[in-house]
Amino acid sequence: MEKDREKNIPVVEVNDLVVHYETYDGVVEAVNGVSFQIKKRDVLGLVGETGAGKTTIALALMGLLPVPPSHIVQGSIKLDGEEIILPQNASKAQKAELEKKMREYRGKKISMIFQDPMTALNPVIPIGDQISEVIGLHEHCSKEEAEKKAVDMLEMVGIRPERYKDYPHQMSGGMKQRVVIAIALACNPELLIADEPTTALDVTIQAQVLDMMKDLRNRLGTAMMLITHDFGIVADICNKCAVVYAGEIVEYGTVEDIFDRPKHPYTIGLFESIPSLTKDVDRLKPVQGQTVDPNDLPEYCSFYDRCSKCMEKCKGCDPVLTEVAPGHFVKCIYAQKEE
Amino acid sequence: MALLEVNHLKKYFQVSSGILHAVDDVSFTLEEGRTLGVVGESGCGKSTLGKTIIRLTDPTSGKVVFDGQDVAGYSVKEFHKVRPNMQMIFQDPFASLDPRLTVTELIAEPMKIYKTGTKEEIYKRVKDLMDIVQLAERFANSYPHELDGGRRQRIGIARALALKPKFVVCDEPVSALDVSIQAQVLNLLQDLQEELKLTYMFITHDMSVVKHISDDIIVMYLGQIVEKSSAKELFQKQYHPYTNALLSAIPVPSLHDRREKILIEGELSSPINPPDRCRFAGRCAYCTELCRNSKAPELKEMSPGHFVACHRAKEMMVELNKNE
Amino acid sequence: MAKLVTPEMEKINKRRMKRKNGKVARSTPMMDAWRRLIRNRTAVLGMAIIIVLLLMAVFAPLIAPYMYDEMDVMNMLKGPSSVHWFGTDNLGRDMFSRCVYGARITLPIAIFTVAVAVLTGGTLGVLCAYFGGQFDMIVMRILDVWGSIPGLMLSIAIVAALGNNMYVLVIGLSVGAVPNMARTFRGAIFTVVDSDYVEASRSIGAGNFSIMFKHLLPNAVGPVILAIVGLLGVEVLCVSTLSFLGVGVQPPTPEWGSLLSTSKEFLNSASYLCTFPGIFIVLSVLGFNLLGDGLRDALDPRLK
Repeated sequence: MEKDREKNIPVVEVNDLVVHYETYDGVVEAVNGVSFQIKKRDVLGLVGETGAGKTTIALALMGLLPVPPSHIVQGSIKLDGEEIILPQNASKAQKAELEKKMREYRGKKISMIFQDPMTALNPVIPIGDQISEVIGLHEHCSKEEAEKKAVDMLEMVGIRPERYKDYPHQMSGGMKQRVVIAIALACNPELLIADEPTTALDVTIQAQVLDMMKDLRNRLGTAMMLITHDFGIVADICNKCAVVYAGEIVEYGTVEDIFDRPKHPYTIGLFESIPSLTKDVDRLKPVQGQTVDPNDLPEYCSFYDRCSKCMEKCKGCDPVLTEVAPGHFVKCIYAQKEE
Repeated sequence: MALLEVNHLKKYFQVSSGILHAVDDVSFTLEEGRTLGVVGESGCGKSTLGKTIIRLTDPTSGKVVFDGQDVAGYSVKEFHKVRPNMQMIFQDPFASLDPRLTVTELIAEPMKIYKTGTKEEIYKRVKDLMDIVQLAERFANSYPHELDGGRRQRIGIARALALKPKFVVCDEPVSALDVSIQAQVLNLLQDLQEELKLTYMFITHDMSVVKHISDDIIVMYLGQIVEKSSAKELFQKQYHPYTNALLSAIPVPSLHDRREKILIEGELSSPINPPDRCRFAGRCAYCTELCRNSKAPELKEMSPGHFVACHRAKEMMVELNKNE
Repeated sequence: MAKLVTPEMEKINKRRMKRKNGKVARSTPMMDAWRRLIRNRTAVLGMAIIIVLLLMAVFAPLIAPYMYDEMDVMNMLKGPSSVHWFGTDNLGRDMFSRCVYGARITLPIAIFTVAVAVLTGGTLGVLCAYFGGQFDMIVMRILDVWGSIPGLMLSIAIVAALGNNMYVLVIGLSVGAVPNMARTFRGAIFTVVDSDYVEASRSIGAGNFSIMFKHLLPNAVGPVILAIVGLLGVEVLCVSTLSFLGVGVQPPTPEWGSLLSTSKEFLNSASYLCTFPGIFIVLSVLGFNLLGDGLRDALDPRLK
């Protein structure tokens, strides 16, 4: 029974999510109809450039979008089968109830690691206490038990227990990110969202942290959503990958689909923009132009202006994310026709 | 003759807990028209090296011979005359442009300081420069905050080129940019180098970028050069365990040629009052008694043009490249 | 997926289009701040008060029905009436005219005081922040000692020592404000002095003064403007206080503080004499403070 449940109910299921930021200077269409699901043991890589809406998706999952200016226009997010988006006309009591529920879930069911470990920790509390505090809060156990578990967590992320009483400023960036991860994993969440967890770190430290995250996935089976702009990290740790452009998933599939058989011109362009370590090329072949202004999205395919494969037809309609091979989805008329 | 020759350059900073050895006895030469890549992790002194060479900070000791003159000892006034030849492109295009100036004003600023011509001449050159860096004319009166990262970095490049320099220090010019924009800017830098015969010192922590753009590479660790070689050779053979680990740690965006990762333990040790011995010894998997107890290793030429600073360099040559 | 348009979005986009067509498209940080400022009602109120008071000072002869020292011996200590709006004092002088002329004395003294304090203290602060090190240390320690003496006392001492005229008053008052200004400028410059663009300008050969006044000061203008506007309010109070104490502007010159001072003898019999100058002092300080608060919000949108 338990196994069936594990297989069938995704840890998180997002359907047709639309998020806008309403500011005085206009509406930013940050997320435009995104759907995906993450099952247990899955590691989904969310790849895209600045302003593609990756972080907004993550914050929506956490129920942490600031309202206003953000506004969930439509869509549904099911956390472990439970809806966490209220209908537009929800009453105040419903909102308060959801907020209370989300506070309980955050840390316990769903956790998030932010990009900058320097600002995510409280500078005046020893790191061990910061971990045990989270455990005490969610598991309602005694202080001693929480502290014991905090020591275990530290060991798990590779920090010696002697450092329990250290303050964040006594640790280096990589160590701090490990503490942040330990806090995020303290209550065995079912989903871990990591927003550019290694961008602020050096390569050798990044390798250590990624290695540790892989190890945790293998041992605990935690589902993860990894937000990054680095395909190298995706190849290293993810098994599913979604490429995001202008608030839409333009290509989705297993990492094999994306890396070996990329279909969307944007995905292909991204790969060609990365200087290769193995091949020597004189010049790179980058995607032309600039990212489309999310303040002013076109009615047609939002990649049209930068696309090398665009046709007259592309201007006529906005393509739909379509399955071109089992489990491999592409949102592009050209790629779909090619099949 | 080499365009730039750096000899035993040192830059120490006095901090409250001692003397920080940011750049510690660095020497290299750079031929005209070539690109020298400088790689290393944060805190290894690569940015300070660049800033010391173009005198944004004064060197503690050492020589910087540029075009036959030792400019390290120059006074501020004397250096002012050399500065047009040595320019810099900065890392963060969001922070390195004064937000209160328009694009035209920003690009014209260096020419106004050096009074390179009349107002008309300067503004004509601004137009030319915008054309050179492929910045559309309609942005002439925009403010930097209205532009995206790629276009901002083009302003930074135009500023650096305004005085027709021979040598440009590029301090992480693409690391704040998105992948597709990064590739556009890299291409631009390469085109400019060919057209204007520029010499680059390209500072970055991104190994794939440095491999793509450099002719020669120096790898720095805690203020010192640990390995120096041509770019091609360095990515095939590494003689220093640190370079080896650094290259293996890069996440490769491919599912196939996955390599064995060599994780190095621990973190950078402190650059404040470092002892006179191999600075990498504490994290090195191949460290022996010899490394811990003897003086810091010096750069030795192991094969033509390939230098390494390691006590066990000979053994490492074999050990690290046995899979070849 | 078809483009989703919500009612809010339509509203906002309409506003955006309207503004675009209205050709206000150019946006500088300063203009953005200005737009935020004029959307702030209390700030606009403060600004309006100050403008009215300034106009009053400039056009005093046109506004005031009488000369400020014109005596009407038939009407002494008369309450407000249609002839004398604010009543008359013990010498039969029209109180409204005296208050209007008072603006000509109080406001310019306050403004000049602030100007002197900004020029001296501001320059010191900029130099301290830019050069740092020993220079900064020494100057700041001197300013610490200087600032530990109450400003008003310092002003009284200087006015008492140097004699009583407008110039001395301005200098005396500004001396008390210099340490504060220096510290404000220094703090403001400190937040921008490590900016990359400062280093970038140095890399293209810009000199110290060009960096300080072309790059640093304009970018630190936010907190500086706040401090200046705040200081204006404070100085209006200080001018009035000194005059009230008898060391500032001397009667019969109608300074608001000295008006209060001479009127206080009639507090019981003719309380309106104190009320009106008091109202002007309060209004001007209030105006500057409201404007200051509005400016703070406008210059730092994060605080909203």
